[in-house]
Amino acid sequence: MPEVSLKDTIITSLNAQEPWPENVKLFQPYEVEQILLPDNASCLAVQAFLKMCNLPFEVEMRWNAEFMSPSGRVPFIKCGAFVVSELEPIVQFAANKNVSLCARLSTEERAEMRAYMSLITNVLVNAELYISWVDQDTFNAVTRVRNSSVYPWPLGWLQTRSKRASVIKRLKALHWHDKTLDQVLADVEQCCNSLSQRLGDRDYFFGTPTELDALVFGHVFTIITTRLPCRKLADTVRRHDTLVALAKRIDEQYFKRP
Amino acid sequence: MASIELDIWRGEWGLASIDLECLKVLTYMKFIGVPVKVREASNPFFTPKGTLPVMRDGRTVLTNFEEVVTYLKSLHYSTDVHLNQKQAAEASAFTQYLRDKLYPAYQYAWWVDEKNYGDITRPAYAKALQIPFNFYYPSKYQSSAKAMVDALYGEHTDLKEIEKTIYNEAEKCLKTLSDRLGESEYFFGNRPSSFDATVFAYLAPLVKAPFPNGTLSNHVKGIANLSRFVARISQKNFRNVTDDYNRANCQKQSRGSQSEREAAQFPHETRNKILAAVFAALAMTGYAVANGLFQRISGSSWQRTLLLNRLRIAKKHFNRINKLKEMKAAQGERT
Amino acid sequence: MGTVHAKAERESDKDAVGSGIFEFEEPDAFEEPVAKPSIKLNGVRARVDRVHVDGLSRTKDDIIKSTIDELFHATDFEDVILRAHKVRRALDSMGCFRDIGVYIDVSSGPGATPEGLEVTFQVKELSRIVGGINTTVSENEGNLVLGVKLPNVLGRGERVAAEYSVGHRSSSNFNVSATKPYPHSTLTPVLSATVYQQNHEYPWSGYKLLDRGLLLDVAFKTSPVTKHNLQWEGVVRDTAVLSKTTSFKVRESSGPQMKSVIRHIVTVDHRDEPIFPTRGSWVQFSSELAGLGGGVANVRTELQAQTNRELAPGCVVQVSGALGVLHDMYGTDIPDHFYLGGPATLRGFRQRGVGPHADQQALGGTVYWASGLHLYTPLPFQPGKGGLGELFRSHLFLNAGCLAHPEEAGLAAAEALTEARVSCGAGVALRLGRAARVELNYCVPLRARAHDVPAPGLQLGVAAHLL
Repeated sequence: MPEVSLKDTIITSLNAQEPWPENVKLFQPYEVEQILLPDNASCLAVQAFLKMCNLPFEVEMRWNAEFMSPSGRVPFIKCGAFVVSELEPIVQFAANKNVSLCARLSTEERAEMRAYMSLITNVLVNAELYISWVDQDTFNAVTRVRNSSVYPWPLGWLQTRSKRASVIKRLKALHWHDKTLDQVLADVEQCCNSLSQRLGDRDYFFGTPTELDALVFGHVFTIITTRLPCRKLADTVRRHDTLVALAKRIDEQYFKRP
Repeated sequence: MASIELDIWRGEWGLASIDLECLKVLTYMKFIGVPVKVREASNPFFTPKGTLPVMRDGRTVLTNFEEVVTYLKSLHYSTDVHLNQKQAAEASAFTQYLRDKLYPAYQYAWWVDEKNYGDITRPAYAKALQIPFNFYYPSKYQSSAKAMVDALYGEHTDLKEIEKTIYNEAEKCLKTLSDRLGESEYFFGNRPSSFDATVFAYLAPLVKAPFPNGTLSNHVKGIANLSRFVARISQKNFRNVTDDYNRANCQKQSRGSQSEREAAQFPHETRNKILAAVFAALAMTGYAVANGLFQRISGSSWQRTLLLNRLRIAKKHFNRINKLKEMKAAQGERT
Repeated sequence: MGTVHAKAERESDKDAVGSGIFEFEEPDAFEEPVAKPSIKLNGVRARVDRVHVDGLSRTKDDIIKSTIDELFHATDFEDVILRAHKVRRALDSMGCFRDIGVYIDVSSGPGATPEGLEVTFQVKELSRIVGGINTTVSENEGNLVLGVKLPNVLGRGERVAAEYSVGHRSSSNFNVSATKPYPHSTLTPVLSATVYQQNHEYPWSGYKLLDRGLLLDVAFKTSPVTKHNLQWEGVVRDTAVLSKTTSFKVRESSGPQMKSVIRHIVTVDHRDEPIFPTRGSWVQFSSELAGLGGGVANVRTELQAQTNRELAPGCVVQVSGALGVLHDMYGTDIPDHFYLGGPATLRGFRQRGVGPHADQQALGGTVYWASGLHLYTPLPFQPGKGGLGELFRSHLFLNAGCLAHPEEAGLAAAEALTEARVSCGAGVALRLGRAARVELNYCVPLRARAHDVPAPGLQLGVAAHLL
């Protein structure tokens, strides 16, 4: 029997009793002038997941959302006394409140779903980080400007520098930093290939919406709608019509309210 | 076609190689039965990236698994032809899944956990390496593993917490993997694929290496179908290695293996002794210098700085004590 | 004139902190020359013919010349001694020398006048570079403190000092400062510039701060007792929550911020000594204006005062008070707020234990007042009188104060400040050198409000300035 941490048990037992509260807030950076491609993708994915679950929430934009988040990454939700960040823990958190999108999936399908979600976080997220922070044109024209927009000079400059260093450290540790742009795009191509193979001509990966669909939507939609000097990433993704169609479908269904 | 050569890290504990990447390539080659000349390298200094494995075929030099798979495919050696497109997609998704969840745990267990590193990893790699490379490479690999763990889980300040998170994730991953495998012999159909080679390379060292801190390997050993999977593949493909090891093990048990372990430890013990002596000498001179200098200071504000510094530290102590008291009080209230 | 002398001596005394924490009263060896003369020295006419300063190598002549100049104006022998003593203190306060000896002799040789004297100062210059290594171990962190100091770098009393402390858990603090005194200009200004990085943890509020900044300071005196500091500070501070259970209110203020502050501090000190004064009063008024650049803008003023009176020998009454107002323009966050409570301010409450809290974590306020009434006496039965016992005092105290964070100004703010918290108690205070003191008190909180965290019972405090 593996040890289960005390805190997890407490959270689990507390959660199970309480239903989803009314005043849940989702915190993210400013959409118009601050947010960067990778963050925007994960924020959108979480929003899509919550909407798919029909869980009410309010979006709040803060300049320091990243620093408020317990994991240092956006988005995070505040749900009563709990602060939960990033998609996977949020999915877990909702599941503890008996809200789940994959209840009817078999164990094998769930295993598959987790694998595909890993594929996205491993390939698309790193590719987005690579484009935003390593690709010189995008970094100079977009990332640098947006990241420092909320800070006064010279803090913006310092902050961008240190954030870039930490992103590069992460990419180096994952052996992504020594890839060329073409290698990155080849990886993205392969990832999209795998995804569209799995999707086939269905509406959703597993028939009905799951967190995998939310995650794919978040990334694909963000990549194809964000204007960057380096168009290659968007072009690579856009070639996969089924994925683009999926993103549009989810956007229409969950985000365009009459 | 010239014969393919493969440089790898040597094996131990009934493993063909102690290294994850080498084991991947080696297992894959065994699967497809390509003729290969395996060499146990004693120094990765002259390899293109300072790492092993290195596959050489004529003028082609390859250093990682994906490249090797693609290259062998171009020579019409492939295990993955029986996969349909959907399965190929799934295999690549699962490969990333392992990389995402299991690889950090694997690296943690091998390199970051100090006890495992000191007792298992460093001696094993040191044994494979020549002097003076055995002073350099293990710590180099360790620092790169630490950098990875830090980059991925740096938001936790406490190493214990990192360890818990990583192992939790890995446990979930192993569970998922076991669900996926079910009772089949291989992951995709009844023939091995490159994904099976990858899974085997992850799991076999965890099953076979005698980790003193075996949280992760216990997770693997606790899952019956995965341990059977490992046993099956090593039986089929690495029978001679396993048998040699078992035979040697029997002999060793009769003779005792103390001397061998000492031999493996040798360079590090000497190094530790020297380092300790150097450190002690430095500390003593430092102290003497400091004392001598302190007496000579008569300028006032410098000493005030020192004094304030001490004060600050004393204050920290008091704050900590107060904090502890409060925590105790809070606990008291709760109970 | 006489009082000014006495004051000047004490001023420089204050700087000369001894080497140990538990340091005794320095025997006033310098007072000897003026102690009870058996002959009337002031009747003896004298003049100084020549002054020697032995042992100079790096120190520039001009600064020495202007220092010793006043010796030549002496008219009688007592005057010579007094002035020689004053010059000796001045040389000492330059911080360039150690072991300064004064020798006075009848002058001889060519050009000697009948009443002429020769004064010789024998000095030893400090070495070019002085350093120290310290290790400190606290509960879960070991620290290595390295210090280097370059006294008298350019020969006119300039100092460069650096301190670096590194803990094994990646928290490092450093501090590099350069100081340039102008002892002979009007107002005797001292310029200094400091670059620093500092980590602080505030468990009572659930956050930690990493400050990196630059501080420029001009200190000058408009009278012997009035000291001004004019400062500019540019700081980048990184606020981070301490744990996952930190209150959301505190979490909201995390993230890096830049702050640029202009500050003026004026201190008037009429006390006879800083730690256990027996008479005199002390006032410090500091005003800060943040917002010329940076993301934080506010005006912050704080007034602290203290007055002492000796009722009977060794029995001193002290009344002290403090008052602060913070006016936010924008970006003012939890780290900028005032906090009250704890052994250094309002005894009988937890550190930062007064005022608004969220989930047991202090949020601080924008206005506060606090006051204290102390009765100091020597230890009962006066053990160690004249020696170790002089480091201790026993005291009775009564503290009152209030901290509030009124949302609107005006009447509501004034009303919020009437919710006074009161505590009293008794304890023992110990002097640490000349810079700080330790107190061990038994405290009884008499009045607390909702959200306050009173801490009745024994409380230990260390600080440079206690209310």
